[in-house]
Amino acid sequence: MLDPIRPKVLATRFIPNAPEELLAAYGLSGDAHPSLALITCDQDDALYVALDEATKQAPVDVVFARSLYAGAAHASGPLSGEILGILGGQSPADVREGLAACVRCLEHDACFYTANADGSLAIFPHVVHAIGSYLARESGLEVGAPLAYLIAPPLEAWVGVDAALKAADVRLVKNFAPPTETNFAGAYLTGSLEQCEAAAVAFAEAIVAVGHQPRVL
Amino acid sequence: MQDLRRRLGEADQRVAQGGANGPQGSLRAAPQLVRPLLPGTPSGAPAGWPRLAAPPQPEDPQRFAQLQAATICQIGVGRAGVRQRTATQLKWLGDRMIAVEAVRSELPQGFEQQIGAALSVQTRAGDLDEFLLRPDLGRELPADALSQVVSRCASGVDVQVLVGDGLSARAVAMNAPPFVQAFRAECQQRGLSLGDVVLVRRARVKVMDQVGEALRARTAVHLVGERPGLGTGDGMSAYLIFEPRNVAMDSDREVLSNIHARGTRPEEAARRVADMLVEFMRVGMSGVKRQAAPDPAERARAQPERRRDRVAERHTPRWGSAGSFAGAAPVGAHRA
Repeated sequence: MLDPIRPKVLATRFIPNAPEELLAAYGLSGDAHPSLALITCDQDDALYVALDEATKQAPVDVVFARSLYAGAAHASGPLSGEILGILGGQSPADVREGLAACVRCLEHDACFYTANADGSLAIFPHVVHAIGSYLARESGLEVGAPLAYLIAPPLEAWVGVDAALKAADVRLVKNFAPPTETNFAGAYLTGSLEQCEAAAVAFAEAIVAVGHQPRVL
Repeated sequence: MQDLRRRLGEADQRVAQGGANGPQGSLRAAPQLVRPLLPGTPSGAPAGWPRLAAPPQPEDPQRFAQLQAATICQIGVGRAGVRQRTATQLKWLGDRMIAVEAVRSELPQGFEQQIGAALSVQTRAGDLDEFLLRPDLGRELPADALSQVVSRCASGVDVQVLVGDGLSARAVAMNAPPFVQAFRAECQQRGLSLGDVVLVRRARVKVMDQVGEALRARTAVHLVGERPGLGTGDGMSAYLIFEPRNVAMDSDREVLSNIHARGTRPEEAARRVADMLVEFMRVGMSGVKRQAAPDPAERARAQPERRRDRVAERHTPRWGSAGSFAGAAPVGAHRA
């Protein structure tokens, strides 16, 4: 229980100089982001965090990041996973370094954890010590703020976020209500770094208890 | 994350030990995991969040842009992973080539006429490579060149001007002609007798002592190209000395450096050099000796035209006033 479930990077590609009309179709501009790095992964939230990590390690922006419907278990192909993320930068070398940071983060840091005995219940009680430009944009917080990034299935998310808000001196920044693309739910919380960590622990602990005894009546 | 994982492990154990306490039980356990707030940390929105290194997050973007615009140095360029960005690297290579090309540049044909030199001589250094590898050869004229200088140049003058290529012929080619032209007028104004200008190829600073001694000049000015740095190959220095003699050391010299378009303009430099030479002759010394003169009243008098210098500084771009070079005492140092 509470063992890491390592995310799997399914496919990566670089586009050194993307066509203007394709960029425009995604609301991007060739002046700002001519070079792209694409990545798919079987854990959407781990990749969101990893993409944000890339913005801290290299001069890149997250130009596209969307979860895919129904999650990795029902993917459209073997390389789709449950998310497509795209980093944009001004040179191929910039996005290469960004993607390298992203993959490092997936291999060593961000991941889901098992929350019941047989590992079928997965939760994401992640703390970002200092958010980069992507999570700053998504959360509305300042770059550098600590963030508790808490994700679980719908009922577990309610119970977990409730426990987190009551256990630690944190505030809710953004809530993800079900149904979502992958039918997970959760919230961004912020506070001091140690309060974020306490919130994540409380979140995980509450959900472990739910997994241990799903029905109380 | 390591810490969180450890504490997640503790929570895991607690749930396993406590059995099916349900959510109530685990909530009671949770507060023990929460450390008290650090004193002074406001709840909810802590101050002093860490600033991230890449890309740069300046607190004052406008000031940051001003700083970047103020220098050709590459500052606040960020990084890509653990290395420089491609644009930074390309500019570095370009800047380095500017320096390399300046070192390998030669004085143009007919440069003697441009500076009105009486004659042109070469030090004992042969080609450019020998000059670069043997600094000692560049400090001395061969005997025949020296006798040419003695026979063709006026001796016993107040100011002997030498123009040498130094480590950047390009810098001298750009800045020496306007300097010499302005300097003639400045000397005339101050009643200084100016000797014949001597052009020295493959010249190091010290050759001024040999020529000055041979011509028994009271002071000497040597214009030489500065050692180029990244992105700069156009800086010229004026080395000044009272009573140039072969036994002189670098501490006997003073220097006005960064004479170029972005630094001290040649015309402005000519005026300041002339002022310095007048002062050398008044106090009878130059270099560290003069600047460290023990008598404060003497030292105060040794600051020529303070008011005019301040005006000059206002018109001088940021990095262009005066600096230390090759061990000689910088002109500005006595003001500090």
